[in-house]
Amino acid sequence: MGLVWVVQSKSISNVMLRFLQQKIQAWFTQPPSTESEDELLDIPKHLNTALVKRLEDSPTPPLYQQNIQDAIATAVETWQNNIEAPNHLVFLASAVEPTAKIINESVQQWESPSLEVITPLKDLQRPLNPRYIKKQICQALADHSPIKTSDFETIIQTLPEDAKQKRKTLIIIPALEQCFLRCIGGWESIEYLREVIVQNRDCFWVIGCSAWAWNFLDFVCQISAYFDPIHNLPELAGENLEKWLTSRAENLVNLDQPESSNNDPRPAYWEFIANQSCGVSSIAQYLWLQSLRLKQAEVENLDLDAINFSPSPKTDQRLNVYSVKPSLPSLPTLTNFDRYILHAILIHGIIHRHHLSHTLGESESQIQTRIQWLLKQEILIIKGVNLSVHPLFYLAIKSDLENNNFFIG
Amino acid sequence: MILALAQQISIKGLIIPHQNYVFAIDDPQDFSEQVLTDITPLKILYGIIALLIAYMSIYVVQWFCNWLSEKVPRRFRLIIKQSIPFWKGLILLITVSYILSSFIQLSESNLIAVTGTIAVALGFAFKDYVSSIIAGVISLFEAPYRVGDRVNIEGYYGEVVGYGLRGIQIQTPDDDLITIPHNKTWTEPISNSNSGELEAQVATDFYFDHHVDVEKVMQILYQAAYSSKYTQLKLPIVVVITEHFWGTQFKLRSYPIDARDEFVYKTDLIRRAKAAFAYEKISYPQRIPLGKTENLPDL
Repeated sequence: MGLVWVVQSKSISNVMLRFLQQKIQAWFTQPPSTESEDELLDIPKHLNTALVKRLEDSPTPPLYQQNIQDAIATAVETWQNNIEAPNHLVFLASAVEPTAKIINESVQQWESPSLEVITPLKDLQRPLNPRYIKKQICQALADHSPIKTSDFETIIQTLPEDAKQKRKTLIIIPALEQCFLRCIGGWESIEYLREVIVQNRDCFWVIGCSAWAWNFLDFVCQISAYFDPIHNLPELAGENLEKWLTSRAENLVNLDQPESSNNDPRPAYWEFIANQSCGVSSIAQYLWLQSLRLKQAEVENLDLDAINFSPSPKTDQRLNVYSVKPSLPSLPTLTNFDRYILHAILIHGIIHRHHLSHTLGESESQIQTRIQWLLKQEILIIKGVNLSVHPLFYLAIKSDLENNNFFIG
Repeated sequence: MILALAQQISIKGLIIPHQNYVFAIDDPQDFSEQVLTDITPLKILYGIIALLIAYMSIYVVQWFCNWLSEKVPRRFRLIIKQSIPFWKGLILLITVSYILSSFIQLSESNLIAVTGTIAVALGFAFKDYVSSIIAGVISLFEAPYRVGDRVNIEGYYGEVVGYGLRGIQIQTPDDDLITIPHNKTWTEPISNSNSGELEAQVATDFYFDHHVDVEKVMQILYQAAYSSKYTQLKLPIVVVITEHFWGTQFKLRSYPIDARDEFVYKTDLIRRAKAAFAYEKISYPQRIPLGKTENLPDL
């Protein structure tokens, strides 16, 4: 009992320490704008939505792309030169990161004339009946199906040099979390995929997956035992975020500039965003957007409702935006059922209500009320017809779920 | 002769030598003068106030800990609940020490004499009560149950929601509150499902015909447990089989994230598994008509 007390007390003190650390940093971080908050206005919702949309459509952080390209280049080279080298590379990301977009963009930018790149599961959507996911994947990978018993002799007789010559295909599975559903028979597709990848050594497989889905698959089908080289996406530092976000926003709005180079609070501000977001690009992006304001004096004569972002507004037509100190929103009190919903969504990344009800083992009407409440609190967001967790709440939810004995990613 | 011997033993047994004096308990006048302090009305008032404060403090501590434990995340719930007996014990210890120091001259010899006297008196009058209190104190260290544990004592199963001086209170799944004295720990077996942990194993039984596809059923049961939102995946999931003359029994052993979800978890597992069995057309045990022994399997 004493040991439990010690361990629990240590956990409590760690949580409090982290909380205090963030609070202290928040107190000592100065916003980049010199204007007081009374002079500034929130960006109108329609402009904010347009800004989010434009930013989401722009490229993912260069650091991610560079990191992925370097890892693939090294692994592919080893695989091509060594017959026994692993034929796969797994990239794990946070559940709110657009893993598929990051992997696809990275591979598109990567110049490798010697390899043919195939993305057979690029637009994979879970079918209404989750038992058909496996069938869908089997069809998509028909050319790379597991080796039949009759082919073994041919494989055994293949010389290592011949095998090396065949190694010219790169297959991308950008979002593994979309290839299964947590229900009976829901991850047979993953077991099938696992067999295909392990047996089909003539192709190099690049797999993107959220850390939550990976941990779940590790529990249910021990996926880590089959895939050894696993890369986590790097954490973005303040400098990376500044370059990435300002370059994306500069053709939409005018960002305020420091009056002098001395005592520029900008680096500390970006470092603060990086710390608060734990270096996750999607959280940092929303955190930064949340800190943007308009100056009351500059827009009081403008009809803000009539303003919309043209594809590329001229410099003099752009709105001037000012930054205040950003802060992550606090999580409202959740019920246990809310936690089960959020946990299920985080495991699947994005998920349709029908599949969510199926994985929770409840009818759609039973979960609807809590989903509506979570949407109203902006903890959940709708992406097309699917649901996902709002990046700004991700870290708070992760901490809450961990403290409530759920496994996390 | 027996009476004389008893008198001799009692007098010898309760004569306590001290550096400067010897007092005997068979002389009440001497005993009260040497053991008790001057009892004034003010002291009595203070004593009553101390008892009231102690009672209020115990009530407040219990209410606050229970309230707080339901507000904090699950992982901190049990640690807060388990601290209740400690706080209550501390309050009682302080109060008893204060009252004793107010009314009794706490010298070494007096302490032995008083505790001896109290032990003799209580031994006859409140034997079971004292036994429960002592068992309660010992249980704090041996921990056969703690607040928040799910226990089964004499057929009563539920969560320990209260830990008093005399006994514990168990809340059953039917929402009944049952008080069980601590002294049951001397004689009765105590089954504790979670022993201070958040998770407690849940065993769910399924019954099938002898000709069932065992591998298929086991696969479905494992997947039912893995896919349930309540399952603690960090803990092992096991399926065990037992043969009966009327069919095959499968027992799925797994853990929910929170032991409190035990029954909804079981329901969820059964619901998921039954849907899959229906989809796979897996047969349940069938009634064997009397006299048709050729239908019985060879066991």
